[in-house]
Amino acid sequence: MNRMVGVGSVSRSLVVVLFAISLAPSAGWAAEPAKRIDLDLAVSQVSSEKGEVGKGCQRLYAEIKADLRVESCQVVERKKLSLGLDEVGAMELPNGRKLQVRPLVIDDRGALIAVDLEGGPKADMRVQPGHLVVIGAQRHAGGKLVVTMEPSF
Amino acid sequence: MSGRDELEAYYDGELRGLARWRMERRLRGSPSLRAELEQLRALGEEVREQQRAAASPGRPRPADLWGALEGSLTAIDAQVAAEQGGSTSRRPARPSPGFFQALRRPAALGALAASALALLIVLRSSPVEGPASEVTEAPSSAVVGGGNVRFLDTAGAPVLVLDQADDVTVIWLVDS
Repeated sequence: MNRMVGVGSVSRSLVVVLFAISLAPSAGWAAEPAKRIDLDLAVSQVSSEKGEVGKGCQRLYAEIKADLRVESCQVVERKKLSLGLDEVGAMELPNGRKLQVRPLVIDDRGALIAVDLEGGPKADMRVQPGHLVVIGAQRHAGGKLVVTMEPSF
Repeated sequence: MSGRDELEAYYDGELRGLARWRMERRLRGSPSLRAELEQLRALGEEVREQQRAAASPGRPRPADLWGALEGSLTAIDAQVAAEQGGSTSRRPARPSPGFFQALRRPAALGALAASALALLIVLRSSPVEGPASEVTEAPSSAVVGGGNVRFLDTAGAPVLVLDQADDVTVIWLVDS
């Protein structure tokens, strides 16, 4: 009888411990998940010549047409990146130049992202989710290449 | 160049190309800036009115500021000479006691005040070197805090930064 009681106590203890372990993630005992940021990158070709505004280019066109005399816009390439802190993502432009992005900080004020365009500007940008970053780059094929970046995190 | 200096340079027609376009864009979006420009216009008109009033009757309107000053001083000379009964010949370089007496006369005071005001406006309109107060045309490499662009390096290439909307930031290489 005593042996049976002892075995039952151990089993109960084991069950309790296993149950507690299974609760650990929800109790916050697990490590904080790594911060990541999703970036929607696009390279578009814009021109001051009259032309079409292609699908996926409407927001860019709406934002810059008045100030920068853009009459046509076509998306040339799209790429989605998911980057952790200090992780570098890259995208190649049609002119062979490379765009690199690196999240530096992700906090409650937004994200600080380093953007480096080969042969073009290098910038650190503080952005919020959905903030559209537009970088007008080099001239190419009669127009101008424009890189857009929209983060979500 | 500070915001006020840039506005005055625009009013004086001293801004060209990209700087002028940038100022016109700011004026379109800022009623307070447009009000400041109107104040400048009103002040300039007032100064021109005073200069016209200070000029002698029948005398041709001076083409420039120094012409206006010369006209005012000549009028003061004539007044002093008339009071002292002396000649109207060119004044000596060092002012005599009579010069200061003449300054107390209302017409002379008004002429000098108008000339000084016009001179002040001309001097303030001159481009003044200074740090950019906001990110519009960014220097080659700079920490440009205040907006969403916290650092920008263009290796000397001219660039335009539009960072006034909450959800859009534009960095635009200006084609040479």
